[in-house]
Amino acid sequence: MLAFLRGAVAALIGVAVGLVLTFSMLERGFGFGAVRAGPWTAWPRVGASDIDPYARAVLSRTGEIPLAAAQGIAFYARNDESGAALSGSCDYVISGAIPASRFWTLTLTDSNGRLIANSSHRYAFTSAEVLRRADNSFAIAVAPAARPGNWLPSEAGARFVLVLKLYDAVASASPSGLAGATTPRITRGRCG
Amino acid sequence: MRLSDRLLGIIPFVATIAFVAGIVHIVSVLAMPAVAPQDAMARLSAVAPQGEGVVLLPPATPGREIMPYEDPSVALGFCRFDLARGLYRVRTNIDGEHFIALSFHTRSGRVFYATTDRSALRGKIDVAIVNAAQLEALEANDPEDQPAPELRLLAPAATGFVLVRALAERPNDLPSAEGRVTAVTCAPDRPPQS
Repeated sequence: MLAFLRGAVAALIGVAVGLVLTFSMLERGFGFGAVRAGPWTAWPRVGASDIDPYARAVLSRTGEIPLAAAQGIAFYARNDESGAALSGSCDYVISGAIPASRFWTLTLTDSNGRLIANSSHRYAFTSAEVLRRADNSFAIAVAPAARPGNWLPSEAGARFVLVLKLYDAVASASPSGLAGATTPRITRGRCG
Repeated sequence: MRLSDRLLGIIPFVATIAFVAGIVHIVSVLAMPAVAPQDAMARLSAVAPQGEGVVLLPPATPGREIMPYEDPSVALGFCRFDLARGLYRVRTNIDGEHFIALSFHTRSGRVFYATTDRSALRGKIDVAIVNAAQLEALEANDPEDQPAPELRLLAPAATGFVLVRALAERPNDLPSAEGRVTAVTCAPDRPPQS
């Protein structure tokens, strides 16, 4: 009787531990197969047919529809290049080279992937509309208050995520081409 | 009882916990696509519960997104397929200039095929989603010495959806991008009645 009770208690604890493990793994995002380039991370296999079971489970929970590997690649940044979490308490400048692609878009979302309402209705920049300098380079200011030039509004005090989507990206066919790709810098300015 | 005996007595208990936890973890991860209530298909079906053909999704604006990490610069549409009702044809013409992309997904969002206008042949995308029996029937009717008129995709599941993405390079281009989405034709191809 005692042995049976011990077994039943062990099984119940096991079920609880297993479920907690699943929940915490799925909360951490796609996990395996991450390709890092500067402050940006991409998961190229999430958009391929050999997606791993964890990423599949994450997709079915969040409802996100990934960009397929044959169409392009999405890079996500939750931190600036010093490693600090992106926050609406600070100003940032995004500048530098974008990996070769036909088009790119840069979108600002909250930490759950939702757009953030703002008075100028600006949620993203595309490669076609971003204002460039004479040498074709560009800089996008991310800040809660208006900035001259390319201004992507963040929400004061709130964490946010930057999503860089490259459509018909040259490197998206092979993950090895993505590692070490020249991605734009995310430089923190004033905080206050 | 000595301390070492007590520790030995705990081993089966801990081993049972680890064993059960491992099985529960693996089963729950693998079962998630089957049981998740808010997967991509459920979200899309909430927009358009019924209907064949392409459904244009409302533009992504704060509070009105259907999926997370949607691109507000992209017009989105979807077609849902159910191979139990016949093979499913997806067609669109390509203007060679504007980005349009089709991706083919199972219910949970997993991609099983994708293409963009760049890889289209002869100015059009022409795809038939089939199961094994439908593929066999198509091939039986193929004329000899000629390539198949369309791309035939063997679907890993009987139901799923096709996502259409058309890029609006500037906010003003969104209506024309939406026009390219709705120009995609999707329809089940019912076997001829005899």
